[in-house]
Amino acid sequence: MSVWPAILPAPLRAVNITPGSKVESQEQDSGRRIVRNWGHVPPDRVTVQFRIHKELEPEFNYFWHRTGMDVTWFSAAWLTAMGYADHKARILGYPRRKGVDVNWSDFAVTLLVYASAYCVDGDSWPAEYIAEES
Amino acid sequence: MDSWPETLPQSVHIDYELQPRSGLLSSTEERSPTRNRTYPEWAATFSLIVSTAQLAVFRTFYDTTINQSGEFECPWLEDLGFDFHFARFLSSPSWRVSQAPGNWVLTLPLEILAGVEMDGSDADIFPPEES
Repeated sequence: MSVWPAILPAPLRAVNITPGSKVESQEQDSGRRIVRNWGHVPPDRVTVQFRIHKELEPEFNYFWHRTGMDVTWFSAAWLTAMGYADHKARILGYPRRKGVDVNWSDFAVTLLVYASAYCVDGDSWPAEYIAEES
Repeated sequence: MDSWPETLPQSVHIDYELQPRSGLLSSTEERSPTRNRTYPEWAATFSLIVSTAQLAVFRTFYDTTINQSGEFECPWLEDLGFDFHFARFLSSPSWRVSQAPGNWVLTLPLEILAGVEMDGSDADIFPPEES
């Protein structure tokens, strides 16, 4: 499992966390909801924003895309500070860039974060799979 | 029934929103609306400010105690006029970083359901022709 590179900054304080839900909800004709649980708990969705200088932007793109951080799990110190003591995370989808000024832009990133309490054995398969392929 | 943890905030700090869910077969029917239920549930969104330690307590309550789907009793419902009511999560809760350091704004999308009063007092939830 890889580690978030030290040259990249921690996200801004605009953090939004939604825990993974295993609840299947079904609305009856009467309007009542029937709720049942299904499967394992999916990972949390953590929405963060990185403010990155344009000189550092190639590094950011390299690390999230070319090193496979969008499919492999990584750990980061700022996720530990967020309350995930033992975790693994990966990027869901593609970062959305919004310019702040000429030099700086904000990258909105959605992360999937597994806390260790919910880690299922074998979930780190992309890293191992890529290691075997290469 | 499970209760809201005592170490978490017992009242709503920031704001809340309430709206009854539809008691009609189709809430947009214009000509002949058909009533399904006398007293539908309420859809509510409550916001609380919690610390990181309290967030861990809430996480245990949400994931383990009520197993993400169980009903529970809320201490602030009675103050809002919902006697004999309990709550259930309508969708996933979410929390974001508060302006105050180390605090989080916890948003709870809840469904408020009517319980049964056990002390024999009149229930306000029924219309006069049914009480």
